[in-house]
Amino acid sequence: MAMPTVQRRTSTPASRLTRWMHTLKSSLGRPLIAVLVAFILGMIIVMIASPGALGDRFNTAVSAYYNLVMGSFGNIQSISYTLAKTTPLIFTGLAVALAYRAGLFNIGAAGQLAVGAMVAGIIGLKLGSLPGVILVPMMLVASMLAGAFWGSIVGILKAWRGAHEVVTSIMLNWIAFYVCAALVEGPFQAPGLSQQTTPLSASATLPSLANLYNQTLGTIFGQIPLAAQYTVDVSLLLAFVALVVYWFLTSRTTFGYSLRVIGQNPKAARYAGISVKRNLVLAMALAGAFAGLAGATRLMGQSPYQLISSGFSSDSTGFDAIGVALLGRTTAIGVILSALLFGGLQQAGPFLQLNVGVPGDLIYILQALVLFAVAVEYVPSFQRFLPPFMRRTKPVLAPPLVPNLIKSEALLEHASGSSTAGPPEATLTDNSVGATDAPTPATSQED
Amino acid sequence: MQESTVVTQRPASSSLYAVEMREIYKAWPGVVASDHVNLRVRKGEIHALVGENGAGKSTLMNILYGLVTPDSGEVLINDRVVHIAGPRDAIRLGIGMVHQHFMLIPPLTVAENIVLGNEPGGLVSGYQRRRANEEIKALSERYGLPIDPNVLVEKLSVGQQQRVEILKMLYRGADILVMDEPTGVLTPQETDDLFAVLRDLVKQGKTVIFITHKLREVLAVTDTITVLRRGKNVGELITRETNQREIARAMVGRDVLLRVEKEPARPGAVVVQVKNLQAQSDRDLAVLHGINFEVHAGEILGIAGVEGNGQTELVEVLAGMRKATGGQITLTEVKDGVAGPAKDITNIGASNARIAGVAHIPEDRRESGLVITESIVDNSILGRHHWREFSRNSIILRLKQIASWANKLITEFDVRTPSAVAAMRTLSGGNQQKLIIARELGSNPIFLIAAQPTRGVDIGAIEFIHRQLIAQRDAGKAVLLISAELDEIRSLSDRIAVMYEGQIVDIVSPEATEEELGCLMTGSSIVNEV
Repeated sequence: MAMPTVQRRTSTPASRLTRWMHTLKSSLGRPLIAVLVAFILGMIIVMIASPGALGDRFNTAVSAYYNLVMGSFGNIQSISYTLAKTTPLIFTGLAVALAYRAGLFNIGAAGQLAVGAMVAGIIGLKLGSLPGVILVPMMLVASMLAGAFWGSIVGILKAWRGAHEVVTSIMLNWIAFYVCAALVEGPFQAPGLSQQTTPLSASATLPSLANLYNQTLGTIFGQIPLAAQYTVDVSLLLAFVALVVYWFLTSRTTFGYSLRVIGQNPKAARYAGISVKRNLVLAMALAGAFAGLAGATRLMGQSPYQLISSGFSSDSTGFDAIGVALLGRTTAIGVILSALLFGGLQQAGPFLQLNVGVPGDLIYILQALVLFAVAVEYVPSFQRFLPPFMRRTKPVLAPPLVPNLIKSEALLEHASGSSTAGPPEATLTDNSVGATDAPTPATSQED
Repeated sequence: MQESTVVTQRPASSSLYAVEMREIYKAWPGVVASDHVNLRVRKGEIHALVGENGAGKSTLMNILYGLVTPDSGEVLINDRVVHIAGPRDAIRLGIGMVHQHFMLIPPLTVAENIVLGNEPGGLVSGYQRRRANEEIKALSERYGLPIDPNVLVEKLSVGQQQRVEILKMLYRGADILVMDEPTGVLTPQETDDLFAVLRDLVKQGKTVIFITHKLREVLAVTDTITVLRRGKNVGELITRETNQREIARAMVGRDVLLRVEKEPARPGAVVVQVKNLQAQSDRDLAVLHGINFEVHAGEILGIAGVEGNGQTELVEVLAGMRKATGGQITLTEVKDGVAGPAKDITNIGASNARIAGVAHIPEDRRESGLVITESIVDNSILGRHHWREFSRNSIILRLKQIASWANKLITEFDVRTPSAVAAMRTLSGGNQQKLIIARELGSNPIFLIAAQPTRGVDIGAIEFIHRQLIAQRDAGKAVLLISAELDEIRSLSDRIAVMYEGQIVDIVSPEATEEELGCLMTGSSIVNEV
């Protein structure tokens, strides 16, 4: 009987490319399919909802999607709007993703965002006379601290009391919404206006990217005309910084390593001597800090530069973030891409209404369908997050949500150099691994 | 099912085989689990089905029990071709399966567990407890399996629980009993009892299929042996005419060293000193009541005992995973025969214990020793990621060093894997265990704790692991071996400490007989001495 030998891969450029493609396929493939399925279903829904013959309905659907694309990425102005909507989704998406790495389902990004915005707003209003160089960093840092505080409550309750994070973070959301609303309608209400604060002073706001360019590089390379129509502000750059920080934290540090161990197998964390409690709190605090930044940057970067009491609970960013994080498979790149998708959808909604006569709500249907398609893939891991009494079966082994991040080409080169030890009919029977590159059946069929 | 008429009647004496499986073929994606396998079990015999992990034993039995549908091949029960679509069909055909992990409901009584699904009584009368109890009593007397039907299952010992499982099958009218590794959780005495019961059942016309990989038991109790290797038949042996060596060779495909070959130990100074160690279980009950022992450099101290007598907690306390509520553990590094200063490692935490030189092969690798969704590279630094070798200031991972460390482990310990970045779960059980051993031994520990190091791994890997443990001993390490396998303890250890109810009842030499050890393990010698 032919004994399968262990395949050692050589690291030729070609094989490297194949491997890279394989990684790309395995990490992007399913989310892409989820989006595709959602869009096809959305098309069917448009066709059902619109009047006329089948051909007309089809045309409506096609033009709806055409407008979806044009409305979000069709010209520089709409791209700018889309990016402005994308920025807070990146921050909150990271807030959900980071917690997810530690095995926590952070529903509380909305509340952490509200608290961050509120604290930044209070500082901006009270200390509005300070110069921007001092005031802006102060507000940003304060919003991070506030969000971190709000997030860490969830972490602390989870670590020491065993309270389920979904429950506590939802409850903390409502506490945040109402406390912030009360503050806005109470001590910080603008005189003569109801349910809102006065707008922030100019020194407390973030400039738009176009304006910033005009004031700096633009003086050398030429001005952007009509800069006011490009609304995306510098917080987009902050979001990129946050993404890099997130990537570094999760894939290059012992903290990220610990989170992965905790998230995938808490028992192994105990075995390894990794403090589960401390890291859970830390993860939630960092997640909260990301979400807090989302609140502050939107307040400071986008009109109307003021807090509105009803805005806290009606803002869906914190919840869309769950979709962003999961669709992005909690990787930094994935979070950008899915935040762009969600931001683009939200930007394009009104265009549909205007140009095609399709209700702008289609984009919410699409968002929901994307989430649904993603969730189906995640079913077993979703079950992990349900409180025990809601689980139907024992939690199934979660799929590898998070691609292994520690990869090194050097490593493969090293492996290729070492020869397969042992005689052909050698010690260990190991058909499943040696025989094939194809994923072995995850559940062993054997005793 | 049209076959259902066959079932309830006694097997006609004319048929020769109770079970015959012909040319069973079943392929999973990428793996052929059963490659035209034949199995013929004579009526009224105990038939052993042996093979390494992954040989296809479970697949075959799952096909017989209707849990898996074969791609091709046929199953005959009492010489009639049957189609088994599910356990319900199997039970109707008189096939009963006693799983390795019992399928019992602890808060219910013995009788309730046995009749579950076939309760006497109807909608009007409700559950007839007395009738159930009487039926169970009669049944248990008929088959010589005495048990009180009114006792709650949670109060029973493991051996008694297994008895309940067997009774459950008999109550459902099983003529063919499939026992899946039934002795794994039993003491030697309980095992002997089980064998007596099985022989008795066979005398009463039942047929037993006995799945195991313990060769001694195969020889002790079975009549015929079917050996599987990698999904194929490799032998059908008559138990009387064979021996362990022949079976092992058939299973593995080459000669296997059944006895561990080792030189006599040359123990040095005391490395680990455990004094009056106490600890609590997860439920805050005291489980360790003053443990005392010492492990010398260059010796293997085996800890024998029935599972659940505090071994798990002892290991966790020694490895720093569980707080000791009293007592002291000290560790002394012995270099070139010279003992260094003794270090108190009581309650310093798992992370610090590792730094101090404690290596720990955990009892359940998939549950706590590995993160199976992550790569081999990631798993190779589990518990050590903050070491200076692997991270700068314990913050930033040194990916290059980690990768070369992982590759070193893979090469030195012959871990079979397509690449170092493959997810841990794509490896076989034996290779997973090898990686853990590589990781724990690779960092040159002073004190090695090996808890159930060969559980669930196949013979070839067992041999490798045993050699590694002996090598560690010969290199002057202190080794603590905790195992439920008495054979393993006896063949590897230089001294054996027997644990019973959270205490070390005695420390004996490995020459002690199985009966002596068995007595100590069940605490009976204490009674005798009093």
